[in-house]
Amino acid sequence: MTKNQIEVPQELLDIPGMNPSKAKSIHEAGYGSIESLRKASIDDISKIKGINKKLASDIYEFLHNAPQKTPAIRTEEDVFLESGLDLYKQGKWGQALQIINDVLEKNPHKIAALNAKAQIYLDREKFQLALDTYDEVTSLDPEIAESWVGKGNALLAMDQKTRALSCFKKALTLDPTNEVAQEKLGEEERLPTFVDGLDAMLEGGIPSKHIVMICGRAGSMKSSFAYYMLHKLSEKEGRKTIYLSLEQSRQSLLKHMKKLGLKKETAKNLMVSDIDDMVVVDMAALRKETDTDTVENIDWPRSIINQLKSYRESYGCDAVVIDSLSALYSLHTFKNPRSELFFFFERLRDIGITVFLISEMYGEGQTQFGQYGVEEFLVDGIIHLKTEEYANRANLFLGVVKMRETNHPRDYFPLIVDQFGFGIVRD
Amino acid sequence: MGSSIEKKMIEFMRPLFGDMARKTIENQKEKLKLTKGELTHDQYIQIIKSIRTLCYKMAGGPVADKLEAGLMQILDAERS
Repeated sequence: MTKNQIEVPQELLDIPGMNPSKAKSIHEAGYGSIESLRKASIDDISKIKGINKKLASDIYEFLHNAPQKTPAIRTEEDVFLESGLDLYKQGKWGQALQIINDVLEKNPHKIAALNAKAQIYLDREKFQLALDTYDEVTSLDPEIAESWVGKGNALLAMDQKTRALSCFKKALTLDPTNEVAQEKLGEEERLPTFVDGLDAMLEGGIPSKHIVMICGRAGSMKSSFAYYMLHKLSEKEGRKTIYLSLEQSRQSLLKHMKKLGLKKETAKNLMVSDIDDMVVVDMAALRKETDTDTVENIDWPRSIINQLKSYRESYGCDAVVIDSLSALYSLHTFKNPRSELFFFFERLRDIGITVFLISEMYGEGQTQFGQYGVEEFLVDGIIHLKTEEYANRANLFLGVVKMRETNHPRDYFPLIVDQFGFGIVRD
Repeated sequence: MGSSIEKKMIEFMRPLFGDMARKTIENQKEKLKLTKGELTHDQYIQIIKSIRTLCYKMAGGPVADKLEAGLMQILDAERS
């Protein structure tokens, strides 16, 4: 059981439409009892954090017009459970657990006791036991946000991030003001790649707002791979995404994607606002329209930053692919690459979206992940697509060379592309 | 009408055209030979149609439609 449930009077929790988090807000706003809340107007109630006008009106209606119930009679079981919780607060968790178990023996479905037991297990780092108990609570009553948060915390401690995130999301649907769930989701949000096998390897996907380079030689399917991820993010999750092509024409890119079975039309809720979630913008077409002098006078890194910032503000944007870093280098000469690229990447980061930068391989033997040799230190992640010749065939392999905030293997895995999409083969 | 409407058009176009938004408007003016004097409402409509054609190439039909509608709205708001 969480602190909220321990401190908030039961009578507040008994109000229809209430949950522990909202009851806690009411309590913290100075309404410690039904009697004090009854003196508040609808306006007063709606000013409490997490209480909207509709709920405020329902609460007011309930307190003033509903037939008055006789105060809930605290059973012997409730008193016994409270004594257990008191012991727990004093640090006597063993004795507390004994009392809670006694309560549960008499009433195995008592939610308050189950939640308290799960919380004790969680605090004692008995994560599997905590998870089992939270599972029981959430199946008995799936409408308690705090239980989903507890379950999420247990899963997080057991390194099951994807499942943990689903629990925090569920908690937020039940209680959009739940601060723990908000915080955990903010910290842990990852964008799935939808590449079969890769998300499991990356603890659920690429950490949101990371800058990730997708590197490889010509023909290693960098653009297709990046397009696939954006396409799936829009199609499956309704994410707003933008594919910024600096060199390849939109027509040629889309033609190629259709060959891969990725028809843009299948992405639902297409673009700028209601029409499309994924937009492919061909900056090369714009450049062709403009005289060379003007193109050369444009500060392209700055222009891209301004464009993305403005795009995000106008239409919303979760992820962008910039295709490619190599094309950007041909448009802009970096006089002091280390410093200028540092600021370019920092400004990209400040926009607050996940950025995929497509890059050729450089250096002798094409083993360097960026033209200037500093890119790999500045980005948060590097996904390397490489081709290896075997029996007269160029086979594709994928390796995650770097991904901050993620424990991942460093091996290269065969990358398969078929009618089902992209996937890696792991033993 | 001129500079104020163009400022608004540039801002509206920035998400797709970046810092090339201003130059794009100038290019369309040159293409349509509308470089002299203050432009009329109808001449701005021609410019918007021309930008739509370019945008269609750059980002496809739905985006071009949306951009055209937005620019027309700016134009109409300025007129009224």
